[in-house]
Amino acid sequence: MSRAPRQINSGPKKIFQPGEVILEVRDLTMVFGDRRVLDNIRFQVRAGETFVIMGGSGCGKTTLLRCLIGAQKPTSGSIHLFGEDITRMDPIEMDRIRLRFGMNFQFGALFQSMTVGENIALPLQEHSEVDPSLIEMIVKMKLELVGLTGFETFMPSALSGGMRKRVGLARAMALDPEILFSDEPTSGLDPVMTAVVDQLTLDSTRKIGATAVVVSHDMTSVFRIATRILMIGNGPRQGQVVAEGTPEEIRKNPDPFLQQFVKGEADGPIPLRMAQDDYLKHLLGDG
Amino acid sequence: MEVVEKNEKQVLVLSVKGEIDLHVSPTLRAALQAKARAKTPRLLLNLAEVAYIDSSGLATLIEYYQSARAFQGKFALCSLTLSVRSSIELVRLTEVFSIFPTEAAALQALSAS
Repeated sequence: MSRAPRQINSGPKKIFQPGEVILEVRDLTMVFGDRRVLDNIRFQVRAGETFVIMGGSGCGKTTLLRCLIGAQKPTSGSIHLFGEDITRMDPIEMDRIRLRFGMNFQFGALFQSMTVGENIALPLQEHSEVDPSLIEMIVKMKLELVGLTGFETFMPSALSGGMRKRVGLARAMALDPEILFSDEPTSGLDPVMTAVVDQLTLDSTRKIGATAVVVSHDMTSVFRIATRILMIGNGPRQGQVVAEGTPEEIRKNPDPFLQQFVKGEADGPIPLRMAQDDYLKHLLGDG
Repeated sequence: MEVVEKNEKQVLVLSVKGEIDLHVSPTLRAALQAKARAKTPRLLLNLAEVAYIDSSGLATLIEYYQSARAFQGKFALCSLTLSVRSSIELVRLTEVFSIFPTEAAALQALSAS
């Protein structure tokens, strides 16, 4: 099926040199009802970094990622991507910015009615005038990167969860984005494929100069790829920045909340269960 | 992107300047397709001043490589920047293209072939 390209002019654009601030989050707060999911988050990401956002389930890291890609407007605060405040952008302006980043969704988010090759080709067909014969080659190169050479004609339903994730990654990289956002890129992958995906992230940042923003709680992967880490808390520190630093700084940070998470210990300040009194009040309806 | 053309030692040298991305790779493709139509016997692409090449640029190079192979033309790349070399290595194309560290080395190899 031929498709007329939906050309959005992404230029003129500033080329970010390694070390320049390419993403800045200022005082970001997100409130759902009476629940403050993200609380005054601030950080900067520099071009060429692999910046990892980690935190326990429900800490708001996926909500933060949705805000970073413009899929969700924060309650307050701003997000400056490529030097522009995306929280004030209309959908057309946001489309221009979207051409410059890729999003690797947690479960691949593939179109089930399209083949693997068609899924990867879609961004190129939609946003470029690249000839179909070249798109076919690009699809093959992207599949090679994620270890799926020869899977172009497969339907997503014929793939395992891990394979679908890797196709999602290949699609996210189809336009060679300046920033690649990834939501749990290695969860559910076997150790070898986790290492392959990690190496791909490292090659993209260290060798090609791209920037990666990765949401993960896979500690092996986090410490393998991160240049800097941001830890977001939950429980009493819900949605707040608990720590930020290089992997070495995070390892040495004595914060018990952080250390419990990094070491994966059951006992510690991260609240998994209510205090006994609170639980009984909740259960019995007292107070 | 700029493409400067010269003939040296019976080799057509195209020196490319600028980034090769989605927006400019069609221009490079048009230049290379013209050389393929002319069945250029020896073509050298000097990429010393190319700071970045994306997948569409790499696909354009592969396409010319395939065309040249069909008419038995020689094709080589030289003077790759670190970023361009890394992009080529990442998709394992170093075995496909003839790559030389300098233009002089490439000219010597191509003119001898």
